[in-house]
Amino acid sequence: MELDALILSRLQFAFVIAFHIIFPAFTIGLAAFLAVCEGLWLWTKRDVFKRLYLHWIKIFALAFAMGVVSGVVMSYQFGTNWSVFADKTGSVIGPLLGYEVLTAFFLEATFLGVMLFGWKRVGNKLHFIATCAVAIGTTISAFWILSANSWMQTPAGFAIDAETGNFYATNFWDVVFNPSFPARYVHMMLAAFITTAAVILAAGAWQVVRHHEEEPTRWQMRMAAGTLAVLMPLQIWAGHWSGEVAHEYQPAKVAAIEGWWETSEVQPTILFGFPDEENERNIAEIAIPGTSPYLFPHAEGPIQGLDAFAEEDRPPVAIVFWSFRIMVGAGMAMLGLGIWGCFLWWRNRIDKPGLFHLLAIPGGALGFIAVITGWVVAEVGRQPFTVYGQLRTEDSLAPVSTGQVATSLIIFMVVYAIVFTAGSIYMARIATRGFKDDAPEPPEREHRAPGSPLAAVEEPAETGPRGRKPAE
Amino acid sequence: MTDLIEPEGPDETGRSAGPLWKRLAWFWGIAIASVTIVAATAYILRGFLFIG
Repeated sequence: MELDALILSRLQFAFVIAFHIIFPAFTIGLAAFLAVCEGLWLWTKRDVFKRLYLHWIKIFALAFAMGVVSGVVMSYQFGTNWSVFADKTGSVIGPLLGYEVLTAFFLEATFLGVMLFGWKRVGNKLHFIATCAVAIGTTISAFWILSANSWMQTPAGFAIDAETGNFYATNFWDVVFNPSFPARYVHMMLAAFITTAAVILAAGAWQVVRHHEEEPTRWQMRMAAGTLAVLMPLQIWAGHWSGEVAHEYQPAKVAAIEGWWETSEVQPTILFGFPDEENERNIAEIAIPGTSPYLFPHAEGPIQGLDAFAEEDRPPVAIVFWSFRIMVGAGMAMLGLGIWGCFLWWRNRIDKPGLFHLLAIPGGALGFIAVITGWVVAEVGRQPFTVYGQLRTEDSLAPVSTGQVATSLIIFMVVYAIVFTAGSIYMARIATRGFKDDAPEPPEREHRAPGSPLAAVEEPAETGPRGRKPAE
Repeated sequence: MTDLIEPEGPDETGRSAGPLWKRLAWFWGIAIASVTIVAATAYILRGFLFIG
């Protein structure tokens, strides 16, 4: 494979977006978690929920800031590396990205200040409104970004100017609610909540293993395990829904995901195998035969394999095939952790160190792994198009040289390695250190004169004033 | 360990949070200050595009 400007630009975008998606995926879920904690604190007045809120909001603010920085870099690349794509499709997806900034990003950025620094000044109710506004802002942000990306997957509501080749919207409603958008939006939102739950569970497990557990640790682990156990089955359903839509509109992508080389009336589910793109077959394949009628019951006619598409219209098979299996594996592992955690909660052992906690610590990365590999399936599976079936990736590239892109890619890799490693380590330190630092100071006790009747009431029988043992 | 960000917790001294107009003034004051900082940062970053 020749490392030309096209491949390097794709690598650069993949590198930057893989870093970026970690932060929105985490902050969407964390904003909802903070809103739930503050709501529970207002409702129950239990101190534990306030401590959880004040602990996790520090991490939220840092993750939000890093998400903004990495997001700005990405949008600039539309101009620097993909200017032809931006020029041709700007009339359609430009407004979607603009609405994201206007309606969502500003909502988040505006009320984050109140969340962080305004609680005493604005009072409990207005502060809760600010927290909810930020949480809602993150979901609206995801709405517009998913809408824009889904339009690239399943373009609708547009026409192409015959003279310029530019896309323009004919029905904006169809553009926003394009065929793949509802399923992909639900899939991504659930992924964000699950990713956050896995991180919170991992932080709690670390505290338990290090014997730093306190009441907030127990609560955060219960909430995280419960979230995983409830949302993961829903996520499997949402993922399948997304797959059904892809099968209807992007059959080449589904053929690559499934490793189907030949078109057939009935297709198997291939669990493992090594796609051999040169000879168009799978090596060492392990498959369950005859499953396609159950997985795609609404499919009509034969199920297309990759042989139904010209070679130049196929996505890279091995990357899509393996990314999908890693995503599914990570999801199943999180489902297992969620069920196991709920079982330990039921047995009142969630704060007792054990194998579960040792596995839950690295399990904190599973959500991120699933999100990144899921996006690899979506984006690499859309190849060789930027706008599926309409605009090829090679025709979307800006007039940049290989040397220019190689230089910017190296700079990105170095800067990201420093900035994001430092930020992530700092967040991990806060997340794992426990709640002892956040505990309220015990009230100063007033010591009475030794020997007085009140001093006898206040001091334990076996100690003297200030905890000293009396002289024997 | 001192954190980069120390969020403010609720006032639990039992004192009144002040009249509604004052709390609303703080709410919108902080919000507008935040959005101004974001807008200024965005315009500064946009300005980099015109360098060179």
